[in-house]
Amino acid sequence: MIDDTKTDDTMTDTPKPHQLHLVPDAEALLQIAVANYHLPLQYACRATVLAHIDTAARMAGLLNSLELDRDECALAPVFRPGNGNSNGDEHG
Amino acid sequence: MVTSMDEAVFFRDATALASQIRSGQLSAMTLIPAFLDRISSRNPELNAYTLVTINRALNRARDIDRQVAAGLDPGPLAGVPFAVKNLYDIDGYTTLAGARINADNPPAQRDALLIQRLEAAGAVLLGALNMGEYAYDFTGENCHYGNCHNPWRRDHMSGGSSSGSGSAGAAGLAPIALGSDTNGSIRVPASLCGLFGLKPTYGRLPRTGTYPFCDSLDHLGPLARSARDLALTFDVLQGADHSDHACAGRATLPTRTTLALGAGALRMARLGGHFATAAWPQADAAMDKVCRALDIRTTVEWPLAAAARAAAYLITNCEGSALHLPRLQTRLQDFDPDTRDRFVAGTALPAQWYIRAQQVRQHCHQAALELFRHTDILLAPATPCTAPPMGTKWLTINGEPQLLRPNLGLFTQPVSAIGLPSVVVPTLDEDTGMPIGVQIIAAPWREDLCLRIAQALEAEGFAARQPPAWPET
Repeated sequence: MIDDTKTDDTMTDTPKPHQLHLVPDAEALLQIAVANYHLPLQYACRATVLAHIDTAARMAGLLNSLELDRDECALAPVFRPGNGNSNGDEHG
Repeated sequence: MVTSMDEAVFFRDATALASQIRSGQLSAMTLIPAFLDRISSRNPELNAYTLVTINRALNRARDIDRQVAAGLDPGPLAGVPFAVKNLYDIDGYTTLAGARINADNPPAQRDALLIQRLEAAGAVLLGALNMGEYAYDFTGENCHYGNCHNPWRRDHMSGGSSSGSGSAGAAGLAPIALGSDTNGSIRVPASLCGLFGLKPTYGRLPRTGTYPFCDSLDHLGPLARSARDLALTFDVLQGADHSDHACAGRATLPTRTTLALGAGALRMARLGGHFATAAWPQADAAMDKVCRALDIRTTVEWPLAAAARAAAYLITNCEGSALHLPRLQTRLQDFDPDTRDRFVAGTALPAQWYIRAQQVRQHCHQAALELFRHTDILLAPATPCTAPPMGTKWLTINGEPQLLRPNLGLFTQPVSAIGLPSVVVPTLDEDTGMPIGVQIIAAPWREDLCLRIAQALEAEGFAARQPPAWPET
């Protein structure tokens, strides 16, 4: 159980929200997916699938460890490229 | 059997071929049958084409010649042969997307929009090209339609997932090939096969009439034998289309007319950090050569590149799996095992990971735009190494074995993750005699700058070369 009264970040043994669930139980995730989606996955394929889930978990861990310095939208933003230096000018 | 003089025609660039046809020096009915013959003789060893549209190509060639004879201009790509990755719709044929499952789908009712645009400019479609299943691939291996081979060494990978586009272009089986690039699928085969390749800004070219993989990362673009061919093709392909919700309504950007401006006063830098090449001697040598040619002495870091790559990995896995969920449920055993396991894994990932990935992607994009306030062009390797032997499963990175498949896109994935335009320029690795490419990257919507640098490098000798001759079979 997480004690949500502890908000002091200097308490190093208290996990910050972004540090929770960094190492998921890949087997449990796969079981849920197979059950939810009725995937006819053969047992022999499970090891490779689990390795891919583990890779994804490490990627997610990296992203969760980032301290974004902007107040990001809680929803997944729709990606649109910005303008960059697209005014046609050359520099230098 | 072709003579050595004939052989040179197949390695001429599209700009030169179109010029000869428009001036009447060469007829389309000479050129197109020659390419069809060459495909017939060479493709069995490369497996680059999965469909050759012979009658359509011959009818089109006759039409081009009729226009020239009548004094009409068939367009800037008059009579130029081209082919497309088999995820582009071709009227009357089933769009395979590299998958056995898709072979059961009905034929397409019309051509993909980019095919229509190339043909409106006078180009002649030769057929459809091999690819990795559902575009989830960097190797060129496909268990359904056979592996696509590298013309430089046929027991080596062509790269993927636009494998046939790289192989056909390098082997002189089409001077222009269209591909798609979600995480590097144009740039990896361009690098491994020694071609120029353009991944435009995300949202620049409409994907109408192509089979999707990952909606928020999918790009289309050309591979070609010269920088000017990329520019010519790109100029013809541009234009908004409301059928693709991601296609931005931007004005077209003429790039052919600015090619000759070269590097000018553009501020250029080599990317370090995630893109550092100390662990990759072949990529390192390629980068050194290109940076010397451009007199680049500055190295800059894009600190969030690894995060951008991680975001792209998760977004691809989640979106791709969601797209294919009905097929995973009903036809799981009909997938290529290498892609099946990745798609199944994607069904198990928590939604929070996907959302976080999209948030980080946006953040990485903002950070990169900041970098472009001080720089116009960034250089990075396209692949960590030259084409590995077919069947290779592992790479050694800093002494540690790592899976080859995801890591061939190590340097391309962060760039497409935030939609930046990138042109691959070929170099030749002297130790192996194999090609390896370098990415020229610019701010969003500045494909013109990438192409100018590509043209400047081509003038310095960084050109698409003819692979070593094969014995006739």
